[in-house]
Amino acid sequence: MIAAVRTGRVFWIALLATVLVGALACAAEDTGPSAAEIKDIVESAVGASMSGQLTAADVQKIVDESSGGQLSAADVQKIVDESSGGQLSAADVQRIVADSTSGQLSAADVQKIVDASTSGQLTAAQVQGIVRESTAGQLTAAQVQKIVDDSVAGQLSADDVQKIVAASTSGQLTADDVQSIVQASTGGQLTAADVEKIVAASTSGQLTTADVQKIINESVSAAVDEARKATAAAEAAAMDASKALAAVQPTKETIIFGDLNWPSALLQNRIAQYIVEKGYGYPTDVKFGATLPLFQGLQRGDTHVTMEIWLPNQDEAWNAAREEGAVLSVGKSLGSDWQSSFVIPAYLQEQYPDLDSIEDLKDDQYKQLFATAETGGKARLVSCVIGWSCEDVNAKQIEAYGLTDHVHVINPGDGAALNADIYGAYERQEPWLGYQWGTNDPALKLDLVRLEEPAYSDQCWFTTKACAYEDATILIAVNPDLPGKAPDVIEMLRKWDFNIDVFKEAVRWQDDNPDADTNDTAIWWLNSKTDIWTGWVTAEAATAIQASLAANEIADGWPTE
Amino acid sequence: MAEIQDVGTGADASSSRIRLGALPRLYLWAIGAAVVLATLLASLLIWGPEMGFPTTVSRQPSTDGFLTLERSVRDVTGGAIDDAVDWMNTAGAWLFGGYKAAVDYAQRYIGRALKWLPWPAVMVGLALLSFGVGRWGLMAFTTLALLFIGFMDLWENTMDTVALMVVAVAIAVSIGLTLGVVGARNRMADNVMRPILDGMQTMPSFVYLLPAIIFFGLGKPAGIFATIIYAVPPAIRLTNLGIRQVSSETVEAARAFGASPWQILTKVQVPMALPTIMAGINQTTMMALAMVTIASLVAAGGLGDNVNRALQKQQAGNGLLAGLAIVFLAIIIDRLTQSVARGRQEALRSVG
Repeated sequence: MIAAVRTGRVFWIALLATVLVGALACAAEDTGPSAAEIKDIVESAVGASMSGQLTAADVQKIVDESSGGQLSAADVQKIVDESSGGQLSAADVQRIVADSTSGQLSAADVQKIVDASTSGQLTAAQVQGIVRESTAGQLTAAQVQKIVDDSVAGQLSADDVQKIVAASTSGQLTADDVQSIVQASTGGQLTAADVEKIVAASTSGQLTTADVQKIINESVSAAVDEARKATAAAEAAAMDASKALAAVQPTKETIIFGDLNWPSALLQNRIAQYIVEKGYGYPTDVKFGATLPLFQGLQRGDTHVTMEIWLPNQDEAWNAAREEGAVLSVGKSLGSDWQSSFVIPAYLQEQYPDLDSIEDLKDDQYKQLFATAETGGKARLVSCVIGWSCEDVNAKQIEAYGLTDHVHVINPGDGAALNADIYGAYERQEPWLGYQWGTNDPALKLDLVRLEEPAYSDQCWFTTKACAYEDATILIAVNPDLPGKAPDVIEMLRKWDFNIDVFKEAVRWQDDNPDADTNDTAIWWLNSKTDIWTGWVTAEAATAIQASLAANEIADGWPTE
Repeated sequence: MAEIQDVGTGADASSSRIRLGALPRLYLWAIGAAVVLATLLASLLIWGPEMGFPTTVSRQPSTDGFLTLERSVRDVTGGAIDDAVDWMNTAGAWLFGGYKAAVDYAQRYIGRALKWLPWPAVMVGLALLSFGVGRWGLMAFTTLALLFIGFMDLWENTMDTVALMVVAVAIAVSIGLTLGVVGARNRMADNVMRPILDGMQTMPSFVYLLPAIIFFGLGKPAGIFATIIYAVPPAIRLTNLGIRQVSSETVEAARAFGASPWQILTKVQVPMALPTIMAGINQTTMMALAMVTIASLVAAGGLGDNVNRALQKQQAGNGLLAGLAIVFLAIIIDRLTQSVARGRQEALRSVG
């Protein structure tokens, strides 16, 4: 019995110890239950915003929470961080700012927002909003200082500064602040009109004598500068300007690539990242996403380079953005490979050399080749995925070609199913007839032949569709700010020539080495195709890249798979 | 302490057994906890808090030796399965081809016949049948449901689905009856079959859909194959159960009258198990209908196409209409087959 009691105690002590250890482990992670809960809420909200799930209204909600004191500065920082990821639109940020009016954002929060502007997240209009808030006493001197600092980076337009000055009228700006403003004028931010305003402000006792003196000093040097320019000392001024610019941008900015989720775009990104990082010294990064969100990010400047813009697929979005000047094209990638068409395996055409056009499918001999029990004497044609736009287009093409009585169309419910069908037939070396497009996996890995169709013309495409798809054009696009920031990278991208044959070779290598991921493939490609990429880069860059390759370095900006 | 004694043994055990029964159990708990803690600490010490459990099998140079590629346990296992699938694809081509042709033909002619019938005629026929086996309620439901399908222009696809179902259920039932009987008679076979049936019902269908396409190609045979895998377990299970439930006295009596094993099976066991078997067939049919959308992914056609198209084009309304057609079809088939089963059951009871 005693032994039983003892073992009983041992058991309970062990259990208690386990529970204690567990509790301690939990306690070590969370300082308090409420803080932890809030953290969870915010984290999930922010997580949702990453996938584009937060609308302006949601953000409003988050901000509402802050009125209850539920959001700490750190949380708001999170929100703002998201804006660097392009998650918050201008409208959202404006909302956050609007909420500061009702005192919901503390000074610290606003400070964070302003910090965000440093990374180019806030447009002039948004900063204007922040400044407007200063009227309500929301901005401390330190914050204004920040705003002014940002003006150095070109964030504040003259108009904004004017506003700041206007704010001083209502006693919001201390002498220190104004001093900062004045310092900012060194960067040419204050126009004569602004200075006039400042002086006017002094009338209402806002500016001390010392400040005014400063202002005057500045205006004198500004006048001298102008005189210099007038007297053709332009070179010296230009030198100063470039020096000033260099002082403002001592380090090279990170260049962010839009990581479109298909193999060719991923590989091109890895190669370009390596070249930009190792050859030109810019840090790189990627943002992963779907086509449309990434394209919007490119326009906003959240990403700087997109290696594949597919036309005519993205014609509408592309043309609109280009008209606004929100994107720039710097050349083509992947060449203009065929877009979409009906294909047969190459081994089949070797057997039947005369089977080379869509018209041949009316020939009984060839029809029987593709017939199965299901098709009842017609040729089995695997067309586009159910619900995709090509489902309708292909159906119209087949009707227009007069093939309705000759082919039996099969529409798979999924792209992967379509691929599995052609892989299975190819493995057995059986006849196969169906729809493929240039960068789809089977089109890259298998040897397929396109059946001839009447050439594309606008006239037929918009009426009967009795012609082939238009050939695709694939562009490299950059944010319009990039040429100013990294002219050497632009130069390189203009020479970029990564055509479909180059890519097919990489895909085949990856096929031979199934353990290789995209990063491995990029390393392989850079090592073995030196003759190709050295044509795109400067001699110094080539030397630097080759040194990095020899040292087995990988690019810091590469994501892991 | 009294609790410990009770828990440890039982009221009627002797006092020496109290100790023996109670001690190891408590020690085991303590030892178990200690082992867990030790494993936890050891893994933390060896692999650190990140738990970088080593799964790399080998590091090999790439084909041209530029870089070293890692191969993980999962790569190796998955690769081996891929190789097996590729091998079966070529080696078993005759088998898959035979199944494919047979299913294609059956499906094609059933589908053609069903589509040839004008839908109002089918509606009237089924309405009369429902009245025969059911009541006014069933007849009204059948009529309205078929009117809905007809007027929503879903008739052709519904008939494609029905043709698919007929073939799939026919194959599933013949497999189900055979394996059910084998399982009922042979304990070993039952033990082997049970986990496989569990797997068939829980394995996500996409997993076997891909090899199905590689073997059979896109089209109805692949869809029917996937449907059979998902729908056959109830037929096997309930056949097995039904035959086991036939009382041993009855079987003994039949044997005493000199019945052969085949006669016992066909004249005694199967007829007496028929209600359970019918329930299994009914379940199989319902589960087959549930696979319509999945089957459409591999181009099996039918109402699943409407659902998938609505999904791709974000047309919730169209999706719901096609979904309702599938539901109506299921209810009609369910009520009709249940009525038939009930009729049989009653007949059997009156004979008994």
